[in-house]
Amino acid sequence: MSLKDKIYLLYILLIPVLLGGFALSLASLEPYPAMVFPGFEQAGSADHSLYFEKPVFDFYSGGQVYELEAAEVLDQLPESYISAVLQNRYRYCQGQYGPRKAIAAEIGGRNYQVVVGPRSLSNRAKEEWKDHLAGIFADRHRGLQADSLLLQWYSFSGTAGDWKKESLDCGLTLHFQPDTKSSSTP
Amino acid sequence: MFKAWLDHWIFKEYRISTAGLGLFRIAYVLFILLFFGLPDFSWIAGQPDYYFDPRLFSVTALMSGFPSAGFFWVLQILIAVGYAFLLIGYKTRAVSVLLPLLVMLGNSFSYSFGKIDHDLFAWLIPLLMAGSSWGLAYSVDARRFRGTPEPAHGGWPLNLLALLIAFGMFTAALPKMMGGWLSPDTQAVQAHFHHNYYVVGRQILLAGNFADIPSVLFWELMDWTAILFEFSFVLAVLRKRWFGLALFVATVFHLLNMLMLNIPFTANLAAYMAFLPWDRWSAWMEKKSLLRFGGDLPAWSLVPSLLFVALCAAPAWLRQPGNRSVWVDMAVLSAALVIATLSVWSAFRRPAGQM
Repeated sequence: MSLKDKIYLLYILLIPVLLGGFALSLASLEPYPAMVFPGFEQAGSADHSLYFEKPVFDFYSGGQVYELEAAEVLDQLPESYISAVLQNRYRYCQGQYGPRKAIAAEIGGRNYQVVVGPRSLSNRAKEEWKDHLAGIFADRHRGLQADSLLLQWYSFSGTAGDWKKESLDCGLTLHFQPDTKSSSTP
Repeated sequence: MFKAWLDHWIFKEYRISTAGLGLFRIAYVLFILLFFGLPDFSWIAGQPDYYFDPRLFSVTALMSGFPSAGFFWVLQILIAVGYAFLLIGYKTRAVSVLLPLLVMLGNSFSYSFGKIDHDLFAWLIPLLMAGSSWGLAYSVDARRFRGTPEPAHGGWPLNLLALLIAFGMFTAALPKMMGGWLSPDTQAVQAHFHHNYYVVGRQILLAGNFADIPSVLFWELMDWTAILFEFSFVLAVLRKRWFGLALFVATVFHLLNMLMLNIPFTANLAAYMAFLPWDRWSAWMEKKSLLRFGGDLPAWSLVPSLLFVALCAAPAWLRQPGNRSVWVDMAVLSAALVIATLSVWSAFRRPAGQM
């Protein structure tokens, strides 16, 4: 077999593998609608009442958008999402930006933001959610411990760019079990 | 007829001279060392195995947890030595095959946390170029292979790289289209932007300027532009000149992404730069006696090469939080602009030696 024939063979083998792999991934993954904020289409219009009348809780979880009424949030919060966010951030903080000694400050300094929430969620609900998340941290992350949690909420008003950030009065502080140094509460 | 066209497309369309490939090899290694940085896996060891969640089709799926720190240090030292070899072209073909495998092994552990980076192309290039003669010029290997004629079918590695880039773009475009990006009812780029801006916290460079744009038309145009641009590669790959233009658009596209969404794209540049007019530059350098064709390097050049790679690797391995400063971003942006400009230039200039 000449070199030319071998290269042809490589192409003949490679192209079906690539296309087949892509087809499989397309079949198994949720496509991009996940990246469209529900209700966001009203953002550019003059009348935002539609948006506000449709409280949605939306966030990313493995490519899926969850649309939940505010009342349902506490019950249906998928723990996998929180876990995924934590793992990503955990890796970013530790892996890409430096050795472990810098982690606590990085985590403490940045906090975790829990995505865009419905403006209609009451403070009480927010508090309950905070406790819920703190419970998840304690249960699911044996290497980490959450003392408190910062939830950042964004309410939408006015034009598309006019998002108002509200922070609950608590901060996420994680520390590592092996060395019990905790980061400072932001 | 089709066979003749296919022959030309695979073996001739993207062909550049051995000297040009040698120059690209050096530029690629320098780009990795100076801009992208050698991989650092040392942080993985010691992580709780609770986080170990390997992908199904990954070699790490055979493991039960993270290996020791020693494993990762040996791995990244081997990778650094490999790049030192590649820089001066010593045992080039073997190193070109081994290097990507070593990096992918380390990345498999890095990705077993659940976050997968899109840096494959940056590391894949040596594997693709292993089939080329990129180790036979400006290298130690050139001494052993002196007098080797230009390979008759030398264009296929770059053709394959172009095909993979086009395929990558296609796989990015199709799910977007299927997901409704072209629907005027939703503005997906805007959603991405707000997610990145408010949730991820990417608010540097020009991001703030886009936060206050309420125009549906503007954001919808962005949706359409992204998809059309990504699909265009499927056609552009048919001609090297078209591909050069597509790469220019791609670089501008990535540049906008970086300015607006603060998403860096250094890995892509490593692949795009393969299509710059290296053969023209090597011919010019030979003419000016800056580099002699086939300039073979002495074996002792491995020593400075190793020292140089160590100097480049140490800061990456010791990197602290916040060290990714504005000047690093500006250096990447400048490199992007240079590569974009050169892509256009090369698209309108015929490669040296071709009619």
